[in-house]
Amino acid sequence: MIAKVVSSAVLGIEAYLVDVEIDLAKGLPAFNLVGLPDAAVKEARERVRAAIKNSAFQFPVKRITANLAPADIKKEGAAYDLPIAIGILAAQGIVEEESLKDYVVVGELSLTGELRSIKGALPMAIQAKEEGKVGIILPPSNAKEAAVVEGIEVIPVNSLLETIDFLNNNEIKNRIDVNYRLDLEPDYKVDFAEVKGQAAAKRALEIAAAGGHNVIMIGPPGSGKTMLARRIPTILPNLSLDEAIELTKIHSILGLLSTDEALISRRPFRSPHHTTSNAGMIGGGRIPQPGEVSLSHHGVLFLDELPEFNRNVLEVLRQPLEANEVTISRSLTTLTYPANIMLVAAMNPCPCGFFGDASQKCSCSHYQVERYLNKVSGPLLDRIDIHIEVPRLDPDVLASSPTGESSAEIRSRVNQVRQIQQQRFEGEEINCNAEMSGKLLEEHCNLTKEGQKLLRSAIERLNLSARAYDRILKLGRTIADLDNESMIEVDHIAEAIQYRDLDRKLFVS
Amino acid sequence: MLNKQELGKYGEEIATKYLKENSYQIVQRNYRCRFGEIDIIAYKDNYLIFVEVKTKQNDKFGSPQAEVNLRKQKKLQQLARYYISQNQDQNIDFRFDVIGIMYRGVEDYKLSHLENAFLV
Repeated sequence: MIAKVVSSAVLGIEAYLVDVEIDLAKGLPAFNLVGLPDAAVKEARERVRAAIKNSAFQFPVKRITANLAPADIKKEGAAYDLPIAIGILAAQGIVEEESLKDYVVVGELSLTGELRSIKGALPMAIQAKEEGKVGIILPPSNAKEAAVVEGIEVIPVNSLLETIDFLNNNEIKNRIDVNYRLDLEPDYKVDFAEVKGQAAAKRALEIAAAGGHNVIMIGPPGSGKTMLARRIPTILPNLSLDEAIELTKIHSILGLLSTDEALISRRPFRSPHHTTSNAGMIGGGRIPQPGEVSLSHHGVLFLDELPEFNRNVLEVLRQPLEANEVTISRSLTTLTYPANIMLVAAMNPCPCGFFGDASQKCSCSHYQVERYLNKVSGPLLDRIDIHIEVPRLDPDVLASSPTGESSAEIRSRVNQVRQIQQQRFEGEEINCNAEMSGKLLEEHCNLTKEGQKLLRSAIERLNLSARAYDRILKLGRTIADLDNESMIEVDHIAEAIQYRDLDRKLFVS
Repeated sequence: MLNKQELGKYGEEIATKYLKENSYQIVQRNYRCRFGEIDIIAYKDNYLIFVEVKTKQNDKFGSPQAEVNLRKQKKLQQLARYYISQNQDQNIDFRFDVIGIMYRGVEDYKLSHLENAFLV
């Protein structure tokens, strides 16, 4: 008596199909699970036994062997409960085997036979479709994310009994309506219109969003750095379908999706605490799990109090910032997760926070200030194009009501600039100005005569490095794009130069 | 009060009677080999059942079934394997049952039958 059920498992952000084979043999009663199961999979034995018994079926007194193939990949998690239970019932002839070939079955069982949600339903559904399966049978709480995949039947089942009903009679008792409508119009809870003052910072953030530049904001406590950062996702262009699916996959394998949201339409905003570890930041674990950089894929990674972060945590950010993906190697496996992020950092200018403030006196010594700023390494700062000051607000502005553009207005301009860039980099591997390198810089950043003159004198006077020169050119390109100019004019260069605060060593002079 | 030997013997008699009443066939009683003893080997519905009988006179230290701990289970598995190896011609399934008897006096006892008590 043998039965085979097809299930699925996730490795990285991709899924693969797992054959669950069940054999019932004569012999001393036993229930063995083979195929590199981890602790959670092994415990399936107890859950499956209770679930079958409590669904009013007989648990066979036989020598039961369950094999999870391919046998050389480690199996994790509780998603195999349902396929194992179905397999045992099919081997006894309670479930018709014929219908099992076409469906992928995943789900965690409770002792009562009801189903609990699993992780990674979206990648599983995608893989099931690629392998030519008709449908996927899964817990109802995972139905919506799986329904994003077109061309595959999504069958949500509440319990083991319902699964059997479906497989034998093709009937679903509580069909959940998964009439999925593609809705990528994000609904953010915050808006730029709520920000009082800070016009300069807003302008800088608009440029950053338009060109995909990383930003660092420097200012005293309470000046609104965090408030501004939270609103950056609202002015970024809407996610494309592919981007949204990729992002949803990452959240799906960690089980972070809410049941009512099928596809993530909002760009993520992640603000990890400054005690975050290396593994928390870029991902890690025995079988590596995605970290903060991957969770903020296509969105904003906000590092508040940048100098407070562990130095090595900031250093490990360099590679993902450069490559837009992060590869994590562990002895078991090597996985690559996407990590296309916009880095936004915030810091105080000195330990007390008031260095350079107009009204409050800074109580730090020169040496303290210098040491504080040196905590942020040069190579990381090199990857941050825009440095802006966020001063404390004037009492008059504070008392007034906010008068600024809404996020939607800013976003429409950002979208235009993104379109210009899309045309510009057609056929290239990059998407935005911030990613330009040597050759492309030469090609696309044409300065007017006056612009060249200004840039030269700025380099001499401010003692700017070659790297800073490149940054200014890229920024100038984005600013010119915002004005819809093909040449970078003197105004654009002038504005770009003022976003290089930390190069000008403004604070350490 | 009965002594331990008498109590065990008495319990096994009760268990045998109970099994017969419930249409089990008794294949063998007190199967002995060099590893130890199986109290009752019974047969019903194409199952060969190895029955362990436990009898107690008071429940101050737990139920009789609870006496069949992991060590005893391992012992029974070993015995069962040996029995099967000696009687290889059966094409049937096997099962371990535990019968617990709480003895309170002559003809005053409580019997509980635990089918498929454990897996190997």
